[in-house]
Amino acid sequence: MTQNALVFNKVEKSFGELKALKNISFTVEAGTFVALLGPNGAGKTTLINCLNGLTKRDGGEILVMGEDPEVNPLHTKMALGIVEQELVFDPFFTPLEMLRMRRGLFGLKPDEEYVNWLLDKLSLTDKKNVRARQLSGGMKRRLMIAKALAHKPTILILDEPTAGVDVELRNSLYEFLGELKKEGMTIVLTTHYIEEAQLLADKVAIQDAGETLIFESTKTLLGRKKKILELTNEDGEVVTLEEGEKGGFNLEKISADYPRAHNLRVIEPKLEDIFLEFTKKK
Amino acid sequence: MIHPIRLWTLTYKETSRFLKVWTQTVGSPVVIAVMYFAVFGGALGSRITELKGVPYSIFIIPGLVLLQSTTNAYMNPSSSLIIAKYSGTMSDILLPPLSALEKTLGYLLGGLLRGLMVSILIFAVAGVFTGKYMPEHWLIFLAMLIFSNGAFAMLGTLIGIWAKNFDQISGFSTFVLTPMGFLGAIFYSLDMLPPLAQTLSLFNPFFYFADGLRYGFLGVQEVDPLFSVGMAGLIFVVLFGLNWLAFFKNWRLGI
Repeated sequence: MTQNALVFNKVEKSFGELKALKNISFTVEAGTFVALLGPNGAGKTTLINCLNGLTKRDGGEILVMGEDPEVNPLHTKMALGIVEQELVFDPFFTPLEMLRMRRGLFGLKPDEEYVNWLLDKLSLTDKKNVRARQLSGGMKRRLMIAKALAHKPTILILDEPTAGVDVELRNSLYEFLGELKKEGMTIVLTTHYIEEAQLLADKVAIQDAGETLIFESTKTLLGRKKKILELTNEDGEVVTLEEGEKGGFNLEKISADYPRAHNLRVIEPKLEDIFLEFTKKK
Repeated sequence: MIHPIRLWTLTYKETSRFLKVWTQTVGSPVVIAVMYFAVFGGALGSRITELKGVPYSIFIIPGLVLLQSTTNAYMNPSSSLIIAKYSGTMSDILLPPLSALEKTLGYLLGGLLRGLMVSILIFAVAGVFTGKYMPEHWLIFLAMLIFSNGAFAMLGTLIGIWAKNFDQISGFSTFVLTPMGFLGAIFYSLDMLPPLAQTLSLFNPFFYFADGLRYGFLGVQEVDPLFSVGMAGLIFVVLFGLNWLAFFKNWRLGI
């Protein structure tokens, strides 16, 4: 039986009058890659903070690898590796020192081989003895990920890890996340780049104004929207046709209706359009 | 519960932070102490020959040591915590499974070690000026150094947890701790004061820290040295307990 890595069951949280989380319920199976999408203020970071115990929920249940973070924080903190949204570092230390200390603060013995592997994987070996404030933005971002992985967690939470990151680095991060997923790590990614959620995630949760609007597999979610065939007719006009109820296009009918059609192009459904539909509806 | 690796790492973090900038954190208080010795010991010492049967330049040593070391013991955790709040690195402490006791002890040891390091250096410098190196009563001397620096490390931690900005940290130091230190009979003996001021001094915790340390180092005192040790120990224990509670409740640290 597949173990549930994360369970959210009717989770509620308010900050004064503001209801930051309203009845959040979904379950993440171990080894799944989940994208948590939502506009600013949707409650994504609050949900993450409830997971790691930085914020106390008002109601409902949260389980991390079967344990409640408010009841057994030792167990849940060991299971979670969190990459925060902000680039935050103690300015006094180097990447190597930070990773060593991170392991120590989790009560783990030094493991130079693993620490050096992490630095290597995240292309930080050359900078491992430089103070963190001297690193570039991209390097700092990679160091955040290395820190989150220093204690070998089973669940990795990434809160907008690619914000302000160049394309090359973003692609190398995707590759690295793919490797982690292959090794069985559960990954939760919050992002504003919807295309990266579509590329990486097995499942997508769309959240807005503290509510989870939908939680489905990426495939099912994309299946909600039909493919579009775009063509140019004999008068030079661009025509768009939606695929049929059972999927696919009736090519015979199309060639009959538009005998001199050219510039044919199939437009695949985009998660971004589905995301916008849901959040606009809301 | 105390996990040795977690406690060691937090202590290492808090200690190496000040050692990396030792000219500011350890060097600066020693230079200031040298200035005090030059002015108070040299210039004033020639006019005030003795206090409690001790040359004035030697009488002021324990008080001067405390003034500098406790300020440093206070600044170590308070600045560490407020920098962490400002830079967002508080999560480095909140995300790992550190217990409230480990956090309290980690910040205590960081501040205490910085305070003791400053103390030892200033005692050594004072020895060069006065020829007085060794304490008279080792046990009370060590107890007072640990309780006083420990109490200020705990006070710094508590203020660091409470404060929302640097102004509150330095404001507490400038408007509360510094006057308390200067009025704690470090440059004079109580009998030089009018009766009301003498009575008020007995309500100043710093007076007991200074008087107890002076007894340990010089063998002279204003009040029973065991009472001073007891007061210092009590203040230390109460502040330790408050810090533990603050960390346990995640007071002003969570989101």
